[in-house]
Amino acid sequence: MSLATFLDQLFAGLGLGFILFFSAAGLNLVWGVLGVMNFAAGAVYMLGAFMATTVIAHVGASTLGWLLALVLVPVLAAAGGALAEVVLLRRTYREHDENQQFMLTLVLSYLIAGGVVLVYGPGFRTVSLPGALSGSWQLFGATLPVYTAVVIVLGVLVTAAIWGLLYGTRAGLLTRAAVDDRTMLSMLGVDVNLLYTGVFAFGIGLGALGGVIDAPNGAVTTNLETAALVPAFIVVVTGGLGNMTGALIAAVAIGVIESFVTLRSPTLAPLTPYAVMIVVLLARGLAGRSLLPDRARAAT
Amino acid sequence: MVGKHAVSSRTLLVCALVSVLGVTGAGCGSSKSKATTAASGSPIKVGYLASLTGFCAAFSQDYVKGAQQAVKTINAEGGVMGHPLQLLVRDDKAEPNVGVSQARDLVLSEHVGFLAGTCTSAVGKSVARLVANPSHVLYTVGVADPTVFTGGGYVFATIPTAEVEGANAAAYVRAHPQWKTVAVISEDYSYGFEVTAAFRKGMKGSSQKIVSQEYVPSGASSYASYISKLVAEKPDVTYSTVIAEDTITFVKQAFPLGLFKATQLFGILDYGTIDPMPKPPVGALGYTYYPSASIYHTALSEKLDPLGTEVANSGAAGDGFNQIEMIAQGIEKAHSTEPPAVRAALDGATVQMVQGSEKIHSCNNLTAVPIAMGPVVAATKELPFAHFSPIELVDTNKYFTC
Amino acid sequence: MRALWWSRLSLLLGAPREWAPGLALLGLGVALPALVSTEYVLLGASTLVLMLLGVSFNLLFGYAGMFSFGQSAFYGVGAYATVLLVNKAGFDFYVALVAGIAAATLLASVGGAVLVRLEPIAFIMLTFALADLLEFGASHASSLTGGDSGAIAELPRALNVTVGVNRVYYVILAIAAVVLVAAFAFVRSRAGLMLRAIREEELRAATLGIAVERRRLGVFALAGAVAAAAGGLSVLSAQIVYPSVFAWQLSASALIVTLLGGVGLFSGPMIGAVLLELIDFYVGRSSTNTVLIDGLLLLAIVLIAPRGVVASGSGSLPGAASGLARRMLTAARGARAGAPG
Repeated sequence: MSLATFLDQLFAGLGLGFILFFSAAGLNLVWGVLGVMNFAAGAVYMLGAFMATTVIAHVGASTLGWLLALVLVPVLAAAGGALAEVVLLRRTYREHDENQQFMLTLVLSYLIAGGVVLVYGPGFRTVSLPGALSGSWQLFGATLPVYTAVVIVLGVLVTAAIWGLLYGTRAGLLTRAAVDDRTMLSMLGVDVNLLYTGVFAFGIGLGALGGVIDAPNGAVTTNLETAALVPAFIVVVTGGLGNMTGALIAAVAIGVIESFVTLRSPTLAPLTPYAVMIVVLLARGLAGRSLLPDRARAAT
Repeated sequence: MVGKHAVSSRTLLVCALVSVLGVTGAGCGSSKSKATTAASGSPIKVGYLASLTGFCAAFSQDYVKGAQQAVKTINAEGGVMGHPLQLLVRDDKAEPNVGVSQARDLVLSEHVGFLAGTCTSAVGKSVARLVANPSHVLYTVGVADPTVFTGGGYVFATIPTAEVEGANAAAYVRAHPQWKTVAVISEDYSYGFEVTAAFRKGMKGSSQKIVSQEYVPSGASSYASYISKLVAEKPDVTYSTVIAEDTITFVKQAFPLGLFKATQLFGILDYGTIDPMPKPPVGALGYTYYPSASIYHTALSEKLDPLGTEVANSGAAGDGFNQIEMIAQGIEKAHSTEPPAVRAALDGATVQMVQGSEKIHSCNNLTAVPIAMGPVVAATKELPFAHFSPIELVDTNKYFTC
Repeated sequence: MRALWWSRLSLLLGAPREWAPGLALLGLGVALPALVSTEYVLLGASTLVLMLLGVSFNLLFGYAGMFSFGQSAFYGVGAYATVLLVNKAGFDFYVALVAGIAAATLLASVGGAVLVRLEPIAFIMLTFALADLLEFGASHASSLTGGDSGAIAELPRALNVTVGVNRVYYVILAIAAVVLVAAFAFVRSRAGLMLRAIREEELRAATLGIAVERRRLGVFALAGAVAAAAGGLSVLSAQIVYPSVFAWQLSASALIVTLLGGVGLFSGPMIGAVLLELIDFYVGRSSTNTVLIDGLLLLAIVLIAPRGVVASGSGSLPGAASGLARRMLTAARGARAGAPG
């Protein structure tokens, strides 16, 4: 394998891996921290992509439009997520009813998907990248698309930001504490309801961000929902629930491996996430290590 | 005028139901010849299967619009034998069991004698099976799997099968001997396999070498790995049958990776996919068999215009339109709304489609619609969307072996 | 004297809530063709299939506390085995059905040997992965399975549903009833009782000498068999098999009908299946934005009857079902302390 080929596939793999990370980040927070298995993660991703098409359609496919979508869509989605959490999910924490949570997030995914069809119709949309981001660089004979580099940088920034929030702020401290003992926290006078709403909203916002970032890569269709949901679950579980660095490593590893597998067997490449997950889960199972957040380590 | 030779629609519907259930019924022979000529008679129901969720959801709306436009224009011109057509649209979710249960429901509850639509071969195959046994429902559909259609059967095709498509592509490549190396890229499911196999068959004996053949996953979010691989190989021409939304993903990611500089792209580039692209693949050689209105200048293509430029050129609308027209014309030819008579009338017939007069081959119920080919150019004043120019219309009758 | 046999019977059958709605449904099922027109009989057939799939899921989720997201794997094995044996090996349908159930039970036993030892989240994801991998295999092994457009079942005229709807319906009903009775007998047996003990308090059950993993493997195999029966019967109503029989959306349907009807109640998935099929049927006929309407209707049901339609307004069992979360968390904490999950 020449250096150029190696780098080509590495870049493609990193691009794929970081997109995977973005589809999983929000779910990781919601499932890992709140313990809610969010079946609506894929629908939120798809919603983010569609909302991005609206923003760019109105503002234009310029760098400004793209940046605006990047900021505005997650904020709006987070607001929606907060509303959904208060209205639907809050009652389930009180009663510890995980079954109802499953159904509610499942129902939420239906409602979001149905809402998207209602507003946008079942057809597809496309957005283009701003001119500044649609070129590519030549490195050692390999081609690195500018947008791939942007996605990588964004991924690293988001991980750093979440890490900073969780370890550098009081809210982050409380969130990590809530993972371990919600009851104790509320006895200490912390408004745990508000905390949970905040974390859920943040998780939804992250999911929508993933959709915005992926939107210029292809057609924005309702199929994005299923395409994002399964890999998100796989990445979260492989990296360890609530473990953001773990999710990043898992996502990038899956992306890069899949890219290199393509060289040998394009047909088998889509099985890569499953293979990686199976190996990791079985190894963990044999070693007796849990996937749930560890008391000593908390989230991230 | 209702007279003693006329048959009431009610009897027709009862007989259709009775036949479907396999129960014998009195008075349901084939002696109905001249149907009623009442001005606004009872409607002729046609069931339409639209895949509103799942695989082809993106284009399903256009199929339905095209079918509805056909019904509208036919009814405006007096209907079929004086009866208006009525379209009953159901969502088959691109799932065979849903498609079959919707089709059955349409036949049993709504007593339709005619079905149309669906975009996946899996659904098409199972609905075709349904109408085959017992065979009293006529079905027109645009799927590429040749096993769905059999000569003498009740299922009729409105688009070419993968075999014809692949054969045509091979003929085109062979007509360009300057292309010494060929790469083939197609989707990893039955359509991709069939069209690639047909292409390879057509290329047998040529000195042009197929240097690589890849099946890429359908619906993937990133084709970068495959594109990089292609770029490294630098084939003279790349034959691509990546379709629908995947074409958009493929072309978008191909640009920064330099595919269009490394190879000449040739492949299926339906107007429905290149038109919405902010940056269409100008210079690529495309073909399409979906009837985009601007390609053909026939009486029927003009009827698509009220749908608006975007929908009229999507191609899917034209296919939906054709499916209904085929049924309507079959009924007119048979002078009967009984599916067996309509089937016999369509067998080997020439029908008017958006593309013009097309022949249905008796041996396999396939219609030899033309394939439009040409280099992709950007929007112009006359045609404000990406299109082929100049366009060549290939007569596909020559690829029919029977 | 009367009281004695009645109390013995109650002991045997358990709370009426568990079995009465299901029995009533089956009774209704027997009378169905006389009561409604053909399209509803066909709806009844597919409802029976969904009931079996839901019961399969509930055996694991409601009774054993195991969340399997891969029952569609065994459903698919049952469906494919039946069609392929009929088409390619010329088997009689009933023999093929039994062979399909046997194949799925084998798969569940072999896979389960590893899977049941894993912690809950790993179990969820790996059962899911099993189904998805089978789907991939089915769509790629085209020479065997017919690939992604599937294979049409070459059934004899006697079993052709478009020729004789009622006859095929009764075949499905009869076989489904047998499977349901067998599953119910298991649930009410000592084995079933032990599973509930494991679900409630795993550590304590182990100290009582209950072979936790062996019991779990047993119910996993049984659930696989029930799901395979559902898959095999689906061949009679759909007449075709295709890779999407392995789709995770089908496993999700099993979850939905169980939660709609009532977790851990035998009749729960049966009622849930009727509800879901009716919703899909009427929504599918009238509107083209089926997803939104489906979502709104499901939301209404979940808000009105959060514990499931059968369980609503009653005591201990729903409480136990909702305690599942607590068990999982406790078990996970225990696992972290060193003991294997």
